[in-house]
Amino acid sequence: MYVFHFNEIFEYLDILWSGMLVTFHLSVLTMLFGTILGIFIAIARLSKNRLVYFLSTMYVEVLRNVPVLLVLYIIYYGISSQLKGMTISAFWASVIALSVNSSAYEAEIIRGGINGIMKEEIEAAFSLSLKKMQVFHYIIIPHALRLIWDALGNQLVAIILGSSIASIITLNELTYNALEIGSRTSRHFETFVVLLFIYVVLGFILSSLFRLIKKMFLRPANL
Amino acid sequence: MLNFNQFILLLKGARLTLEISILAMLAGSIIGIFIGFLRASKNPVIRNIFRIYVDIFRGSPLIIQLFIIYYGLPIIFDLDVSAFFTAFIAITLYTSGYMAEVFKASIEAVSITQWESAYSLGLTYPVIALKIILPQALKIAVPPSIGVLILVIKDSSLASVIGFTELTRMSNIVRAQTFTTFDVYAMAALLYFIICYSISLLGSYLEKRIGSSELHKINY
Repeated sequence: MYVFHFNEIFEYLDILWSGMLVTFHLSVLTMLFGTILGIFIAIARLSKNRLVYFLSTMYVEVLRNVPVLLVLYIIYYGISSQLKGMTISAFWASVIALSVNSSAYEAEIIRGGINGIMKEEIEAAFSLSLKKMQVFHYIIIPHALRLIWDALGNQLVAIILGSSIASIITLNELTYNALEIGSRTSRHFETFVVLLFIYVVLGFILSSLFRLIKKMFLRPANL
Repeated sequence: MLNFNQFILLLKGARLTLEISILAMLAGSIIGIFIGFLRASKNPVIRNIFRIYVDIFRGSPLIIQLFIIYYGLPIIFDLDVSAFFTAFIAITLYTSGYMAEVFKASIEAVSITQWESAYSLGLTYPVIALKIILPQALKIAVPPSIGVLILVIKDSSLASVIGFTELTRMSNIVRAQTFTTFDVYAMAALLYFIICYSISLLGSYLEKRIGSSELHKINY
């Protein structure tokens, strides 16, 4: 009968902590770049210019239908094999792959939010002689933000969970360091059980933060 | 460039990706139906216990779940199983978390009067659930399930880390044979795209056929 030993893992808390910092760093950069890129793609998807619309739609469809692991492989191994002399660190390859992947999803969420605002609302705002910037600032942004807030929160939690695949290209983030602890202690199972709860808790903290911000700052959509 | 044999190898990988995804989807849906009913229960204790189940499987990376099953099956159940079986169990559990939420939403979308009238006819809970509510919920669950299937196909690529030779691991093998990194991965990405995009087209077709009358009720 197998006896579980969780206490051995807690001797390596410093390794888990340093992995957590890398995961945190990676996730924050991905959230930032993914969201910025997502906003641009969403605007491109709403464009009336056919070429812009076609290219941005293709971007979204391709990235939503290809595993992020392959995107990571293509960026980390593929690009450096094509361009001689160009190498990319595991960290930045992960940031780029995860951001690009996330931006496709965020673009769809943001586009949905902008589409969700009723035309009448914007017309009503213009008829009150608000300027274009004012309409954008007072009508579109608060309303769209409210519409997309939950989906955006889920997407950002998904980034934290998704950052675990960077361990496959040997970036020393949380999952990779857990593998390291597993091989030092031969307690892989216990290590990953602990890790599972760390990820669940990290996701829970972020989604609670999102709910809190929603409660405190976002006006209820009275529709 | 890839030659014909290497392309055939990738196609074999794609077949295994499809096999494991569809099997895990079927098994995950069966578990998901049960948990969906429990999640839609009126009893808050039952509802919240199974919420934890859903939160764990949806709230943690699949790669961690794969590792837990991979290292856990041999030590807990004393099982020495193939990579396919390990990946199947892990992806099934992962899928069941998503499908439970899909079925919960679908079950709740079935009008409450269906329950009331069935109870007033003297039917018991299992009969109502399986014969009256489930058929209606299944229809509502089709479009979101297509989304979950696509997610599962893409995430099954992670099974490559525990040594199951699906499309992603197969492309690693072909890459090691040929040293044509970019071409192999681009071809694998194209295969994934073809599979997932055709399924999503099928999904939007089904969504139109089932009709928005049923779907506006769902809050998924």
